[in-house]
Amino acid sequence: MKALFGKIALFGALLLAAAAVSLLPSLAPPKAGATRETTDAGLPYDASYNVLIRGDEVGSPGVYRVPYGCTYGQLFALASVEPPAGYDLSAPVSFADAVLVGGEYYIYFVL
Amino acid sequence: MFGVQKKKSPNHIQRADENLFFRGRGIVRFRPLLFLSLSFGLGIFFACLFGLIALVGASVFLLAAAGVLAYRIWKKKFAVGFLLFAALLCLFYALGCLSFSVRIGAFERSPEISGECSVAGTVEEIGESKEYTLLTLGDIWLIDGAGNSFRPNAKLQLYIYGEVPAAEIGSAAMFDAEVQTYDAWAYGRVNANAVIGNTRYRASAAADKVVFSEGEGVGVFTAVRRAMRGVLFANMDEATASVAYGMLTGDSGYMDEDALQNFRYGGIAHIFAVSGLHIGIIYGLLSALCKKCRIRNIVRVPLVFAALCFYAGVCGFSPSSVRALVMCTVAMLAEAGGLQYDRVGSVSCASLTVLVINPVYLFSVGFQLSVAAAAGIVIVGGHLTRLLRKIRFLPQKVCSAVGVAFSAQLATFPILIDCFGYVSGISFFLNLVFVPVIGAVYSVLFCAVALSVLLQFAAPVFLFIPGYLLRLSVMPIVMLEFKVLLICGFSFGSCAVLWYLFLFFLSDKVNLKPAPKISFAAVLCALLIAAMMFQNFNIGMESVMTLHAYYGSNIGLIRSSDGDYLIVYGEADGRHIEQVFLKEGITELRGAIFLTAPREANTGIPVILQYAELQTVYVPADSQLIDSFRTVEIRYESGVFVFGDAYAQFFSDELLYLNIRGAGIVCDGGADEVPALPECDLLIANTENDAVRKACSPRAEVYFEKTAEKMSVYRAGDLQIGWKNDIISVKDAG
Repeated sequence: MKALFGKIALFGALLLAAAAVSLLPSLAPPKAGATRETTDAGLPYDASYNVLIRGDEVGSPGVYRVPYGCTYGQLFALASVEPPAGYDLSAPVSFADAVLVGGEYYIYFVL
Repeated sequence: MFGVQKKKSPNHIQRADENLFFRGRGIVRFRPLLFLSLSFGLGIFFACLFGLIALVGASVFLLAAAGVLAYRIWKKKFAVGFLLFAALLCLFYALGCLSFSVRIGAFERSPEISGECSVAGTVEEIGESKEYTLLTLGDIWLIDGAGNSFRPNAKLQLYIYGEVPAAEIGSAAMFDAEVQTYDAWAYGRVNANAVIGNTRYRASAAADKVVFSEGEGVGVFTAVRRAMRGVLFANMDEATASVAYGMLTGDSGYMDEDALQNFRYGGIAHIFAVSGLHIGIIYGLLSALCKKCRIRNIVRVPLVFAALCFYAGVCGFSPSSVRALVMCTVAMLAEAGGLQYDRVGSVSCASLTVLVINPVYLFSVGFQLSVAAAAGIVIVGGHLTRLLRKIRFLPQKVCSAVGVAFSAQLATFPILIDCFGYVSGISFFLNLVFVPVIGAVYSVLFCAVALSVLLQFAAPVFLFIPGYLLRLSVMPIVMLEFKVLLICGFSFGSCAVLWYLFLFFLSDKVNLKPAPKISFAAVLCALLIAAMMFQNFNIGMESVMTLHAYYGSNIGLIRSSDGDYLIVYGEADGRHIEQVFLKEGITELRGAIFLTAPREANTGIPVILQYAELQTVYVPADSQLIDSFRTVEIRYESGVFVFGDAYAQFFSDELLYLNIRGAGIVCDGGADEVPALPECDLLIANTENDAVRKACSPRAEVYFEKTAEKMSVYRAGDLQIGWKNDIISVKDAG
């Protein structure tokens, strides 16, 4: 019984020492909030752009707001124009032809 | 109830393997120290993630304990001991939570200071390397540009470039310099070194700008290090002396960077971290000497402990040396007391001791590697060795060496991949062959250096053979190229938990029968593979851009269908670029843009070329960058151009507009003059710039540097920006 109490006392002293070593040196109020910072944000956006299409052969000339990925075929159908040669109708409209006008990009088609 | 056991019938025969799933008494042996250290570590970890609210997690322990307690009472097994241990687990968990929160609170109590300041402080530590002298100043006094005076209870790290008159511990240093503040959390991880050392501030100064007063002399550990360095560099060639000094003290600052990097590529740079290998050898030498001199245990144990402590002090009390010191002490005490030495308990005790001293060590890469390697050897190594011994033609020593080397490799694998971006493919072989050789050389070198420091007149004699042996043994490492054999291109992240569970499950510490063991292992393996694929492949995303930064080295990577593209926002740092490219598996870039002045682009291109092939660099049509690179095409662009799967347009050297899947992004590398810009959905910049923000009216902003209340790579670490279903998602890439 004596040996058991001795072991308990020794263990208790070690525990107190561990608590003192881990808590006392800093003597400061603990940081309440999390230390780790993370980021997880979602931002919906308007994936459409302006296309200005005009010309003698264009049935409905004007500025169209088309979704990203709109094909040449869809665009020409929208503007009621016979697809001119040299365009892959299934390919998406290329943004490489865009021009910045008044803070917005426009893709010009003059047919 | 409470210890009353069910009476057995006289004819009942208890079979040891009566249970369906396991043999013996339980699936896992009860190891109190292991569970206590795990609960302490969990407390620290959850405090980092959630703050003090993590203390509520102790209730999870209590709930689980209540459930197990009810089961034990139902089964009429002894329950008081279990109850006490559950309470102890909760206590250690809570202690871990609190100790971490207190340390971070103390660190952050010192105010944030930045800008040009006049500084005075007392030299407390001196670190020396080839390129600079690093002084740690305590009792600091700062006066900023506005005349505000600060006397924070924190230290400042001063990097001095140039010839420094021998600075002494206790001397006062005074200087004017740009002061920066370290944060507890930066670039997606705990700034462990800064918090552990309470080094809240940092500054750099030229040697002739720092004034020193007289001091008390150097400390005893610094004096010993200087003496060791003196005898080594006086009696060996510089390359060999720097390797010897690194092995003996853990300070590789004098080594040639390319040579050191080759050790890293070979996976054997751990010989420069004083740990179990070194402390174990010295312990063996001292124990043998004491036994030879017939010194009794009552004298031997404190003598050897004092010597090992002193050596750990010379090595700066690094976490690996402290861990090894504790393990050796536990082994020594167990041997002296005639007790059975339990290696798992010893590793647990060592880890717990280090974490109690400072809980922030849990986030130190050195501590993680040290504990992982030791735990891997102890938990997996023995089992692996026993399995290998079943192969008849393999000598026992070879089985043991292979078991140890391979288990350490397995255990450190996720940490190395996530921290450094790669693991050496030849590391296993080199650790098996080279490390035992270097261990033998180290033991001879240690004795020779100890004698040389004491009897300096005879140093050339003592150091002749060890120097020759060391030069011979490191020659293959220095001469051969190991960069070609790297395993890289992926990361573990939180999947590391599954990896370690899998290893633990396969070890002999989990007492399951073969059938359930194989079944559960197969399930864990499948889970690990699925989780790794989810972690490393951008499943479901239509386009992805990742942002990476480290103290000014700010870059963005666009993964396109035809290859990878790079945007450099700041000054590309070679080490950071290499780490990112290895981690992301990039060996070739289709295109790059430098949002910097032409002069910085001119110096940045060769840095990129060191680590990846580069086809094209895009610059504005009126750029002053001269096309002088033979292997790189410089393309001068006006208007909109194709940049991978994106479209881009330059507005100046530092301003770029990107269109990715219909979303507008403005990239700002630090423009002074801001022209008219299109409106955009997302602004990516180094720091806040009101003029750019007003010009492009972004709906969201992401920055590389520290920015209050905005998304930044500085706070969250590497970021992944993904496009899917007309939504841009910004989240941690780790």
